[in-house]
Amino acid sequence: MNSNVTKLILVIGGAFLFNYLFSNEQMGVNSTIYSLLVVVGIRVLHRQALKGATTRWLLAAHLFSLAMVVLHNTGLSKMAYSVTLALFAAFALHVHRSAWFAAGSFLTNALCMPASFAENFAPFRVRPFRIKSFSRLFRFALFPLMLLIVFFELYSAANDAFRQLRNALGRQLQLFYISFFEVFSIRHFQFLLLGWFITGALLLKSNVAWFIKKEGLCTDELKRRKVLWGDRAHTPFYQLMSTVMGRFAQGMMALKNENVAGIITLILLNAMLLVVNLLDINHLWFNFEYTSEEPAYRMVHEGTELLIASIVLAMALLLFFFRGNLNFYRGNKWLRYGAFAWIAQNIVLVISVAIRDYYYIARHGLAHKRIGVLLFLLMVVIGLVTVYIKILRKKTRYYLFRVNGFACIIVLVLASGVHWDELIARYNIQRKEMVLPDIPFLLQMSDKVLPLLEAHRDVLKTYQADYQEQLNKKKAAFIKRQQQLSWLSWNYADASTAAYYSQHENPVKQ
Amino acid sequence: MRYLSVSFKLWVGTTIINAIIVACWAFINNGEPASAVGFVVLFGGIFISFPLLAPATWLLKAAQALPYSATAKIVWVACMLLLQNWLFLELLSRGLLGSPIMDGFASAVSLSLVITVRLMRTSLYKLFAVDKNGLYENT
Repeated sequence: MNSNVTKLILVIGGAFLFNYLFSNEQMGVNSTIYSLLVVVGIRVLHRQALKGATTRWLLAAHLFSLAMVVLHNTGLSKMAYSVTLALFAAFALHVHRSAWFAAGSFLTNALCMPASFAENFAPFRVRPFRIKSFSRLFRFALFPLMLLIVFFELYSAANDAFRQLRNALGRQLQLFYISFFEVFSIRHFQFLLLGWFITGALLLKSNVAWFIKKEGLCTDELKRRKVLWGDRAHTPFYQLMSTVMGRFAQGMMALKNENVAGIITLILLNAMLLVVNLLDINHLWFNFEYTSEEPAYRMVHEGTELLIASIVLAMALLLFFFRGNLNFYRGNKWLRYGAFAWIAQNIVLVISVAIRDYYYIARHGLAHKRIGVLLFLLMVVIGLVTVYIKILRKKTRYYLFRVNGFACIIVLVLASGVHWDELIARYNIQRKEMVLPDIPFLLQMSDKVLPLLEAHRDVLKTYQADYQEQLNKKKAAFIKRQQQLSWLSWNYADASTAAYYSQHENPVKQ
Repeated sequence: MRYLSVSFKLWVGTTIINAIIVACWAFINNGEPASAVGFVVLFGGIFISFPLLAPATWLLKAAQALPYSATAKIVWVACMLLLQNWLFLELLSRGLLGSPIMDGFASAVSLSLVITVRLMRTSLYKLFAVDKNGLYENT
């Protein structure tokens, strides 16, 4: 079969399948069918696509996320599912090494999708009637049609019999349109179009190769470049340095002067951060005690904000000094040592914030943001290690962003493997004797937590009576929602909750 | 200027055809005087949708920059204009787009846009088929 015809069948068929699978449904087992279509579609349309190692790894990550959607059905697993599917398609269709550039190519695919679709299928356009004559007819009919409406109004106002005929005709047409729009509503059409858009973006390759060309110019290894004086004088970095350092940023000694400025900067910053870290080690690591003057939440939030500011500054600063030829300067030994010390100190700062978070969890229980801080800290450590490698092995910024991009994906996919709501609720309820659980917070969680709350109604009873009522309402909403969904939305998390209620009281249709 | 004139034609065409469709709809629904409804929609549409001329012109310019054939560019423009109109209606109706009247109106606008693009395909083709040197793509 011609590849254009295959594309046509896959994209249009995919749009209808998307509409059938996801219209008035939630993500569940239907995601498996859609993923299968996309993977098979890519394999059929682009035979070489699945041969790349990155593509295969992304496919594995996608299958893991898909399993988590069916198993846990959390927001995070759905996000991981969407991200890995988009990146898998981008890596399969285009030549990329970095997730950021691949994401750019996927967005280009999505943006240009209608044009890619029309480009592929223009030679196969079917013309059931003569468009030219239709257009001509429409143009000629436009003005008479407007006049017809005006005179129709006049006659029906003046003549009773004509008005009755018009009313009878109107009623029939009204009935036709009501039944027509029940089937072909604009919402339905928009959803179908969304399916067409997403399927096309995943399967069709756009003609815009901007991101591929840009990435083609990037390498992992930093190369020494001779920049002509005239070219250097026009760069923003040079102008900034020239403003700050004056004549020291110019001439033959510019690189040496920049090295000296870098060493002084890093010595001062390291000294300041050392004081902060020593205070933290003394106060937090070994001699920590809760005081009523310093609430735990303020301590964690301030610590995290400090870390974010410090890390951003650290990265930007190191990237500034190690942006070019200073990497190859023979006398940069102390600058490198200063950078390594700065990275090590930031890792100590990360540990301090992790300890703050631990104390906060121990005092107030688990919550999403508290877990989010831990995941963020993990990403920060990976970021700092890659900056260390960048300086040590003379790597480019492209390398830094590439590795950190993949680290982000790995963390996202692995984090989707845990049902955080269930973990948080179980942990907080288990420690109810030590820490009073935040009941409104527990009631906001996903439906998977419902059996746990039902089994621990005593926790709700110790509070105001309306919490029990809220749980009942949440249960009723869950049962009602489940009855509206078909097998397409099946997932283990909802099925286990439904099974719990079926065994204990109200049967729930699945 | 060429882009502005084409987007102006698209805008006027869509507004007029939309007014006709809504007038026909009012006629089917009995009760409302169709011609009055048509005129209200026509002049109201011109007044309200006037700001859409600028993004429509920008979309035509963006389409010209795409490395696709003229036909593909026309399809792309039609889809983007459709999206733009839906977003505009969503903003204007502030979430009322789910209601039957607004849904009907959105359908009418979408249909009129598709008809206008279809009617104006020659102008659009002339706009997109010419390259930087003033030559048609197939010559």
